Amino acid sequence: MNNREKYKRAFSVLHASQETDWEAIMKTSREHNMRKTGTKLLLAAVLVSLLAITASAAGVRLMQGWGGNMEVLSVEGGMEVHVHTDNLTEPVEIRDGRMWFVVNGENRDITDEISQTEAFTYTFMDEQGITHYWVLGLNGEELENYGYAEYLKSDTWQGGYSARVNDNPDGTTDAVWLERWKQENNCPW
Amino acid sequence: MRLETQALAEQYRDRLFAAAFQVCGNAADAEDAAQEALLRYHLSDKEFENQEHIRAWLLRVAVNWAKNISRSFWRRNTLPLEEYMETLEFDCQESREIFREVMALPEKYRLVIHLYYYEDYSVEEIGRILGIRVSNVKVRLSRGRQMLKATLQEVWDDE
Repeated sequence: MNNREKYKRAFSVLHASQETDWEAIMKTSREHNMRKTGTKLLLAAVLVSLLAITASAAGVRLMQGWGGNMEVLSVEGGMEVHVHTDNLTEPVEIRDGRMWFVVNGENRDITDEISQTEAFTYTFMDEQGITHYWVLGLNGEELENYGYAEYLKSDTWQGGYSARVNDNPDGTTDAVWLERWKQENNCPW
Repeated sequence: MRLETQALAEQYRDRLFAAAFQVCGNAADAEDAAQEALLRYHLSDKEFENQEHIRAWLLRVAVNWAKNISRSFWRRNTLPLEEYMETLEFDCQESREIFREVMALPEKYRLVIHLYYYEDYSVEEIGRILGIRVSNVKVRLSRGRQMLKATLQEVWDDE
């Protein structure tokens, strides 16, 4: 028996679960089709959640999101979070019908990795040791109709913002890709 | 060309799972990655040249999704590999050893090893699926083989 045969024999023990959740796939497919016909005009909506406060010297910028979109500043008695909704640095560029992810020096074609139901995600740690989580998805059929969220996490603070999505009264958004990602990753926002 | 998703699932589900397993190292995340690849295909209206083109596309999506899961900070608790191996039915000790030593390889080596030995892809095809140069594929394949030879010794033939 050669190496290839040995390898195949060894890994032939791996089997996916017998029951593919077709009901879930069909349900997701129906939701996808409903959203295609019920697309609303999306505003640049931003939310911020602040979960912990650590005292620090006032006026110090404690951390910032990529592109300066979000800043966390120390103030007397706590922190202030600023999100520059009027001038957000976009995480993607649309070139020749393709979507390119440009955060953190990347230049990555993510056109085939993003949809209305599945998010593209990216994680990196900056020089301050802050972990950034990027989540991107589509809000319609066109690539230009995208939304995104950036979450920051340190030892003492975690928070984030989402952009180009609509908020529901119950605190969720109408972005299927973002709500699925939050649920699958036990994201606290 | 398009094929029915359910037919593709029956044919490729286990192979997508096995490829994603090389990235994730656990069954739960590999299961998610395999299902996501099929779901993306189902929701896409992309046309393919032939069935091999579909297979390569599914594998690339499953591997990329598995990489996203692996990097996620909020990934759920999963069964350790050794405990999962106890649930698998190996037909001989040699298979168990090969499985263990391959899973002990760095992810970038074992993924190339898997696509080469299990999926029978050429180094050029592996480069296209993973989006890396052929020279990198050859280096990873060579280093993976060297490491397997060092740990498995006579169980793994020289190539």
